[in-house]
Amino acid sequence: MSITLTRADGYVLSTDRARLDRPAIHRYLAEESYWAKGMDRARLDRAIEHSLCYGVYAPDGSQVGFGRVITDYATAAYLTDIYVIEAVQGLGLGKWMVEAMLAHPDLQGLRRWMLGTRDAHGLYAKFGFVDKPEGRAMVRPG
Amino acid sequence: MSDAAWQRDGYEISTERARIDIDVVQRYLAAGRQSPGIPCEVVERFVAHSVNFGVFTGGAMVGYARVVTDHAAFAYLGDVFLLDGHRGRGLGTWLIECVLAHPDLQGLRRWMLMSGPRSVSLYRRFGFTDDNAPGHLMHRTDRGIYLRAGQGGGA
Repeated sequence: MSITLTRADGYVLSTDRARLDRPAIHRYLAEESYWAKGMDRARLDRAIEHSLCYGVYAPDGSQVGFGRVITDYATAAYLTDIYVIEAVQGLGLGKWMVEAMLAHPDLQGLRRWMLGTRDAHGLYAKFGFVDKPEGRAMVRPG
Repeated sequence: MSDAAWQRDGYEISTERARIDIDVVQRYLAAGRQSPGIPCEVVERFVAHSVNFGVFTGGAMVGYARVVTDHAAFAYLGDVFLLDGHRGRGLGTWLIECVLAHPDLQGLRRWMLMSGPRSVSLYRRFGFTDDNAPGHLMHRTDRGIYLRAGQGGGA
């Protein structure tokens, strides 16, 4: 069951996996993002199958943003691959997407939300994210 | 997803979901500091949506770890424990080795975990670092979530 929201200005946010423009997402992540450069298409497809995905669409239907949640639907959720293309930045679309993720009915009562970011701390801090773990966060490249 | 199994010194590690002892996991976590009061239905739900690693001996599950993952780019390792009587013989190290060796969890972009102070050196041996410089980690954690009245475990 997917969720679709429409803003007064015609932008649409949807969790419908079938609607995703996978070539566009792949192009952005593999070529423009700083975190997933070179990611191959098969790996992206696998990631999409195992994530709760959000697409942002312009009034003309074209995909202008994406994000996904990796979760056990019980205790933990990790937000990743979140972007809005440059041409439509500043319209609050990223904030809208994160709001919708945190409000998803299947993701209520989780114990921990996580993410990694290099340049969007202000956005996430508004939603209660902090960068001072009470337990030590540790990471490891694959 | 494929099931995997490893054997050593009378112990077995298996990823077969049907073998995971929900009661053992719930009792251990509910009594601990990380997820105090966690109800059975939350454990059942996360077992259903995680890659689970049970440590078995003599027909009983005596240890556990799980991974929340997209099987492609990211994995979060959590709820790692061994019951009393099974610690101090290298099983924890072996368990982490098996988790990291799982065939469906290769070539990921990021592994992540939240370590207690006593386990930091263990995870460092496996290449985990708490130097967050490469991608700044942020989180929103509600430690008392299962203890508050009316929580009901969420959706």
